[in-house]
Amino acid sequence: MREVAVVGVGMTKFGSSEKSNVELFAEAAMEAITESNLEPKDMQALFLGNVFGGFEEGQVTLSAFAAADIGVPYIPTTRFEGACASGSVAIRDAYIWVASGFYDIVLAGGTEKALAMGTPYATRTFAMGSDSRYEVPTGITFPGVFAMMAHLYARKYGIPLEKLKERMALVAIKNHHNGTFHPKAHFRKEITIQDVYNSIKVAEPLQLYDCCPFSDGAAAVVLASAEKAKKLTDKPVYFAGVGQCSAPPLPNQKDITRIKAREASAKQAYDMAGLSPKDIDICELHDCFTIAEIAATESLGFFDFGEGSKGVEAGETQIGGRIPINPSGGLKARGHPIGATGAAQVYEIAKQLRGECGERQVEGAKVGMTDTLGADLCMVCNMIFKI
Amino acid sequence: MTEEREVSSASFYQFLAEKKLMASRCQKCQALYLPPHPICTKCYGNDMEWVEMKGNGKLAAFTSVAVGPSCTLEEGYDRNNPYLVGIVELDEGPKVSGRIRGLDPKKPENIKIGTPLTVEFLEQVEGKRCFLAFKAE
Amino acid sequence: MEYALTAKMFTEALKENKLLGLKCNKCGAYTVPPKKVCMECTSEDLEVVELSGKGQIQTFTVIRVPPEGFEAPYIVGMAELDEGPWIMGNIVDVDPDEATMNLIGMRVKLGHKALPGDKFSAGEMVAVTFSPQT
Repeated sequence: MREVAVVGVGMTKFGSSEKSNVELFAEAAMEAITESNLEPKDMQALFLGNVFGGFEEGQVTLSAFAAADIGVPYIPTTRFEGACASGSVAIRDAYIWVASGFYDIVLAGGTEKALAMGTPYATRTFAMGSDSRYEVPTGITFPGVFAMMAHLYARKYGIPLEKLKERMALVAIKNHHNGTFHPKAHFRKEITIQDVYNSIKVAEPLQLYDCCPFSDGAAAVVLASAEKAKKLTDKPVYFAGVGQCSAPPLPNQKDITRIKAREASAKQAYDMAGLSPKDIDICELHDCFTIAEIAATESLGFFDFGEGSKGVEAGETQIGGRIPINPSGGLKARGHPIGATGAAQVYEIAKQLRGECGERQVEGAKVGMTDTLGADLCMVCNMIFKI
Repeated sequence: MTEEREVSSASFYQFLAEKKLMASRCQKCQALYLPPHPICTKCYGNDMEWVEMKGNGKLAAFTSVAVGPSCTLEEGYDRNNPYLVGIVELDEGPKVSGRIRGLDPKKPENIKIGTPLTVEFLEQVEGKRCFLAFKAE
Repeated sequence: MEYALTAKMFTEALKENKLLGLKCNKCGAYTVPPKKVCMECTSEDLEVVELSGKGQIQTFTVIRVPPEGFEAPYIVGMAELDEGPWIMGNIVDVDPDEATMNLIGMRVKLGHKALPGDKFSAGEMVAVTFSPQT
């Protein structure tokens, strides 16, 4: 398998958009293609992540129409669905096709118009990530899954719920703070702990500010073989390792404070890269909810199990801390158009490793990791990059 | 007319509500796009300008739909009361699809390709959106 | 080979407050809700059995922002059945406004709740319910 690099990245502003999924992706794609010093006709294939195009705007076959909108209607295109991990699984797949030699230059990424659905309908469609026969009839929601994780985490590690909620709030505050430095973030305002505590209850113990927003947006990356990459850019960002794992429905996983799919996926990525958690300089991970960030830092090996929430309190995950987590603002502040998020994480890691992040730059970052998780904790994808 | 609105499908529908059929034209190579595109797929330029179409064209293809999606049931169409959908070639060149009115959907055999048509702006039942139709004289 | 216990069969039994599962003749594990093979050892040598319907709450949440078609607040939880597997259901006979961490560890017995299907559900929806074992 040969080496593969990211040669260009692009993303739309995340937030509320009147544009269609096709239009959003075309915009992100052209930014990535231009940054690569290439043209659309150089793209040999498109790997597009999108979850709810049918529900958002009555559109399936997004991948074909996205290629048409950038002037290459006849290339092979495929839509990837891995719930909130869709963008990542698309990029990992694209990486494998280029690493294997089947393609030299491809376009990958994702798009979503989650805001188009409105909250009650979106809550119903997001619940489709749980088992439709055995879980959905209970009225479980996606926040509900992580709410159950939070209660179990507090009980398992003997942390008083109020204390855990305080540490969860610090995650939200940190990520909002980081988001103020990201020109394309959905939210670019600071929040206080009172804002978190005053927000409406969504699924106890999660309140509104424990939750990432529904967002519209797209992000894209251009991948090339290392040989071609070196001719296109003087700062190729190389794939060092990738991992992906699935898991059965939530109840089958039992102790959900330990996300088994993530532990296995991260191990694949670390082993392939010949690295361990201490080698990672920055991580863009899946903070769909504040508790999700805490649990993720543990499953990825940045903290011992049960210690993640203390690490937040100690400031270890801030830009400038021992292990900067979500310097972009994460899903919480940068936003979460679910099909696009995996690609937006690669966008951030690439820009960080190239030293292009301005006020949110993590000094000296050489190795970065992305992490996305979907649905019933049952789709996880991790990628490690180095410059 | 200089129109500064962003080139997107949302703008296209805003124009329809203002009873204007608008295309985008690449300022570099003059290629015309309807529906509008922000990026020229011939020369990859992204410098587009809006151009209003006169609204005249000819029927290029059509079908009479007897089993439509649920919104057409709300409009009063069903198996015994079909509606026409077609592709219209505008005088300016682009081809666009739309509802076809003024011809008998129950007698598709009498409908001729090439029939002259003019644009019509139809309001959907709840008045929430305006969509494109063409009418035979 | 046919599915030993389909979702439809499981749901029909649940509507009579019977909790069915699959006992593996090879390794002895219980698979519930049902799958095609034993979830521990993948054997297809499975027997349909009726479970005790008793368990212990492991975690829960009170849903306050519901999906379209549901009316909040209500409690969703996961219980560990006496036979081993975990299962998701609604905790009933408990006021959602009084739900605290004390629900964790509560012994429960299973019942069911049937709802009309919605546009997306491929028919009727039947949920497991947990009520306190008194």
